[in-house]
Amino acid sequence: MPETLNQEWLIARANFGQRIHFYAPSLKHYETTGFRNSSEPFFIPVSVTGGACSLRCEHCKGKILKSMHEAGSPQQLLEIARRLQDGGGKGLLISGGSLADGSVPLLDYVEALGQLKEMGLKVAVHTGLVDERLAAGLAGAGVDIAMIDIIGADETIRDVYHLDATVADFERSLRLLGENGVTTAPHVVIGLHFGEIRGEAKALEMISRHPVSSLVLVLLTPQPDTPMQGVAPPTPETAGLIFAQARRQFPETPILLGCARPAGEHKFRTDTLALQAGLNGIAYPAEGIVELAGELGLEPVFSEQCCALITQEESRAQTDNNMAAAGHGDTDGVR
Amino acid sequence: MALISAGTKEECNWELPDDFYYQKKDHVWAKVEGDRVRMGLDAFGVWAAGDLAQMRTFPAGRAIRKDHAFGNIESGKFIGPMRSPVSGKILEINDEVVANPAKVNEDNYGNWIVLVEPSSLEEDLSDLPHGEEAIKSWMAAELEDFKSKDLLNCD
Repeated sequence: MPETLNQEWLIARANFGQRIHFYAPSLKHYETTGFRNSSEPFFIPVSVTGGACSLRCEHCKGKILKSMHEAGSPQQLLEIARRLQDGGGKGLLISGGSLADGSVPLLDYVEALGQLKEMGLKVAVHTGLVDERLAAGLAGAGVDIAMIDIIGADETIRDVYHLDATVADFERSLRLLGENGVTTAPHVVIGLHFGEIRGEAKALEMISRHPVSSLVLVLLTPQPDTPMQGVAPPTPETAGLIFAQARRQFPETPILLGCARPAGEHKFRTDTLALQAGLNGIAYPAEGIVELAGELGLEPVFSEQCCALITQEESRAQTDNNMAAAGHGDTDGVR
Repeated sequence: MALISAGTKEECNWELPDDFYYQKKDHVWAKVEGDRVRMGLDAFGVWAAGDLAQMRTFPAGRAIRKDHAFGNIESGKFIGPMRSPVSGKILEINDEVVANPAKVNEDNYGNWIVLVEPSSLEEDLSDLPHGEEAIKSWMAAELEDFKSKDLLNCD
């Protein structure tokens, strides 16, 4: 059996059992020997600003937005959602470029977000910094999950995001989301400060003070043709230390390895460490990781939704019930 | 050359050489060079995948089968295999391209990926799009499929 990081592995098994969740939403065509997503759109990304972003962060420059569907108005968002639903799709990730103040302009979309929920769709939103009105609006709309990158170093906010804000502003957003009852899945980008570990521990500490439904960890992945092209991302081993720290700090909160991380051997090693550190789920696992999870005695559960939508109920050990119900695995998702 | 257009945006126009053959699912081109076949990714496939970040192939000497993977790629919008248009044996790998797959984004026809010794060439080529008319017909259906999934934003 491959080596596991004992303490963290044991924490995960004690609190979550043997389940491991794998995710492949329709942001990408995904096909490996262990798992593939459907060819029809199931869970799609939408940008409310198209390709526009005022921050132009050093590692992205808005490039990530280009692969998203564009909804320049609430009406367009609803049209995209109707077409998605007509084709059998189940949910949307509503994202967008940021305004200069670090917010994503979602306020005008709140009513439409509520309509998406009335249609029975899953709705995840990337919020950026939020104020009271947006937090209340998202709560009223009943979005399933709010996702926000939490940065724990002022210099990273300034030098990478080009944003005139502080870590306190990010924590305030977390607080507002929590106070308004919005289910929240904060993200921490490991190595965001030009590949260095800088504010990660502080970010985890900030998050620990607020109610969150899950924690999503991703790795800096510099985009081509950006100032960070050529910047070395954190090594898998460095990321693994953060995984372990997070597992110890959040023993009962689902922790996911999200979409963004370097490809190739780096990804395989990172994903291996995520398994060994007892993370609850991995988005777009590297080739061979599903099989490795099996060798470690974990029971894979597959989903085409955003990983942040994991709930504690889903992630807790239910092996016996599932085995009894389906003879082999869960009737909805275990393959 | 088959010119394929899906709209007014410059990025929505693609050129597919009409003397090549194409593996339809993964947009792998095959150029017959005597008793060898050179392979790479066609212009539409590269557009659909986005910036290529990673590429792996089977090693030289490995036997490959038509419609089965000879390697895989990872990009902003695609993680998956490259399936071969023909069966045969890999003779040569373009190591420069595998080490830096972004070269395919720069020049997808100049930057080939593998050179293959085919084992049943005539039979394997018989059902692949080839020639302007066949390529345009295949790509019309492909564009319609992308459009139905809201994956073409070309106007």
